[in-house]
Amino acid sequence: MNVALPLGWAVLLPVLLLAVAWAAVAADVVVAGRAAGRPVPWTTAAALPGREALRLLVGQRRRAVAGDELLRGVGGAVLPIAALLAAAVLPLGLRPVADLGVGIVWFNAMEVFAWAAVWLVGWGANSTMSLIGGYRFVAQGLGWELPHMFALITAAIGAQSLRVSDVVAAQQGLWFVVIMPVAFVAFLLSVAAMAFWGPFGAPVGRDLAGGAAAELGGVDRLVVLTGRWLLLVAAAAMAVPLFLGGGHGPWLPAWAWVLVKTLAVLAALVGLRHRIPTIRMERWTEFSLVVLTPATIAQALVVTLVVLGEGGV
Amino acid sequence: MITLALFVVLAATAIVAGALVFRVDSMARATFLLLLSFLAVAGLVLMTGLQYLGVVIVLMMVIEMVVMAVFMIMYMMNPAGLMTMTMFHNTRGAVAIAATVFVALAAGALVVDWPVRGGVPAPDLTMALGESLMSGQMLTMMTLGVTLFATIVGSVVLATGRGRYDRLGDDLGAAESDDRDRGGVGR
Amino acid sequence: MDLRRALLRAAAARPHVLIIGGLGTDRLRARVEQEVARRGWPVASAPADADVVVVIGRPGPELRAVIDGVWTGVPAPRSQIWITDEDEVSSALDDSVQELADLAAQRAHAPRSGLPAIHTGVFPPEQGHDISEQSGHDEPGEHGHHHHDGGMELPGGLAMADLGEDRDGLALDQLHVPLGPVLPEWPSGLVVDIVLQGDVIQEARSRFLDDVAAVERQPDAARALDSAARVLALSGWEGPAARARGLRDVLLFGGGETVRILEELDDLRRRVRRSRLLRWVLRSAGAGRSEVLEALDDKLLSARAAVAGAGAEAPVATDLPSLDARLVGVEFAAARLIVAVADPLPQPALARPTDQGGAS
Repeated sequence: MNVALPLGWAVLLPVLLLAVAWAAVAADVVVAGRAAGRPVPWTTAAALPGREALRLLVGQRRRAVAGDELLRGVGGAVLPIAALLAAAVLPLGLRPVADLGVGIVWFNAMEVFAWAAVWLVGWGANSTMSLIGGYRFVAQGLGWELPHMFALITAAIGAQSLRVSDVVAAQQGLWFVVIMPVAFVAFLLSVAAMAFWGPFGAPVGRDLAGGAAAELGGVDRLVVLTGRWLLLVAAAAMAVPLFLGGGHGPWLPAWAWVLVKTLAVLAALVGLRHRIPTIRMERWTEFSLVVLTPATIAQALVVTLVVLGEGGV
Repeated sequence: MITLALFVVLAATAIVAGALVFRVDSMARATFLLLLSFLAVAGLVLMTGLQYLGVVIVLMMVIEMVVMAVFMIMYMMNPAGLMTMTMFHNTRGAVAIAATVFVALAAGALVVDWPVRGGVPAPDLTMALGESLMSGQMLTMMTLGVTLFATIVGSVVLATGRGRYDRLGDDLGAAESDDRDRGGVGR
Repeated sequence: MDLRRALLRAAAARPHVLIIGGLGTDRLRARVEQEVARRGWPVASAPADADVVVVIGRPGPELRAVIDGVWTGVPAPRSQIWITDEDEVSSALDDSVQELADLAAQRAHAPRSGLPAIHTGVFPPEQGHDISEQSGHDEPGEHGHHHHDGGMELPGGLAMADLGEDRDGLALDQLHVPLGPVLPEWPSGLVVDIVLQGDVIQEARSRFLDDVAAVERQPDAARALDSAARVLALSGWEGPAARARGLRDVLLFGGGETVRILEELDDLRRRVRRSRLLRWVLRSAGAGRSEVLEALDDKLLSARAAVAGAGAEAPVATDLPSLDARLVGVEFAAARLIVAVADPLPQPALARPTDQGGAS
């Protein structure tokens, strides 16, 4: 049954995502300041995302000498667009903007565009550091994509539907995180990884002088950095309908629960980020393929058996 | 009307982007034009109502093309494809093969009578697809899957310079491999 | 017009700072870093990310050429300040904010029609030629000679890649790139010319820019903490890295009691030793032994000993040839850690006895 929101919400969705991303950046600044022993006041932190955006808007753009401007531009633009399209299947409350029958696959397909985007930005700049950054992301991606897909599939098996609103409906009684904790953890890891953020920030790492984003100035940089935070927010928000019961909860209306849970997931990610060092990709790929992938397959198998045992399908 | 316009746009994009693959000088541009062509085809598949297949084409093609790009860097490390290069090899043979295939397919499309639809589409095409793959076509799919997987494993085993006996000792007894760049698990 | 001015002023309030200094400017660099951190300004990761370029000390001709190259890649609004004395740090930074917010000045000096991107740490073509010829990497030839055997000079100053065998014996592309001297968490004035395949380093030759005769040396404890902070920052542990830098600043410029410094140092060491993830990330080949992690712990330990006045031996500094040897065959991220840990010194300074120790 299609329960999509009215079309006007499509306009509101980017605004909502940006607002949450703003809050996440501000919280990140506060936590970073505390970790460094130089606390940043809340008021400064709250204004900081706007200030940085303004700095980049005022700043001059850079043209890469003999670079591939077209591909770099396309790559940069794809990042925020992919994040927004992925968020289209996100139930804001109990109803998403686009209630696709294959919503989970759609989410996966859109967020995979980040692979192409980061690689294009790294390639187009005509710089060694950017290039290494771009393909670090692909190497990491090959590591997280399989566990990520199995985590998504596990939630779909639990609800016996690829439609995100059905997955939410199936969690009216029991949140999926309880019966599929491994899938939840794998999903959270891939949230940070797909946004090349925190411990998975090697593609734009300090050792590469900014990696894939090293040569970006002005509005180009703003678009890529915003796209990255939007991707993180969209993916973190997706954990709510998939594993944390979506809009279900006592006392509050559904939309409020979605907001509260999304902010909680983001707070956990931001809080953990500053305790964890950057994970090098050769460590991550082996761990991901040797430990995480089998673990998520086993998780999917267990959930399948439970569903079959309850007389599902 | 909108459907027709959409069809024309997608079909034209698929063909033009596909043709441009052979006109551009940079391997990166060629790769991503090919991706654009595939994405337009995925759009056409979506237009037929096959949501699952359409979205999966998008998913698989993006990953596939980016993985192709990684091989590209391996063989050609110049960022931004600084050197113009030709994308043609074996021009004459390729022309002959392409012409033959085109004529055969076009002739097929024009000569053979098009089938007429019997029955109605299933209410849930994704469900119907899954049931078909996992019942009637189960043996085909399983054989295909295992064959593909065996091919991947086989080619990796053949390509690797240092097998597990080199890394973990003759009786595989070492607690950790002695690789220079240690992986996350150490095996 | 007034709106533009107001926007420019708001944007200039928290500039990103790129600090460039040659060999022997570490103390002044520490002073600038301290002031920048106190103001809550971020340190830029690359020229593209910078608003203010702070040149410290008196750079020699080679470094000066690099600075010119970097400067062309800094997007407007931008400001370049030169600092030669610790007393002028604060006022110079204030001036830079003024300049950033000055619409007329920025208009006059802004490069027209967008900026060319220069490669981080890569010299503009001309300088790249001269230097690589001087270092004996290439046989000297007339100007415009190919960068490297079989390589081809292309627009943008990046040499065309050439072929070489990789670790598995496949013939794959190689790039010739200089690393440094303008890189985050990089020893002052160091340049390593590398041959890169994928992100594996195949050849390395390190050198210092501009032969500086007399190198001012930092106290051992501060030097050890500086190097430890670099390792921590490169590992993505920004918080502890900032704390290590803070301790370094207290050692150099005062402002803390010895007891408290010792406490904080112990706390830092405990955190480093206890983090399983850090061990997992830094561990290298050979049954869990980690050169980088051990060296990091040694550095913190020696800093502690020096602060406590126990007269510990000076931390072992690596010389350039042995650094080159250790870089060959490692992957890029590992190479950055190795350089940060090695913290090389030019030969003459190595031979000199260390007379300073402990807090100054």
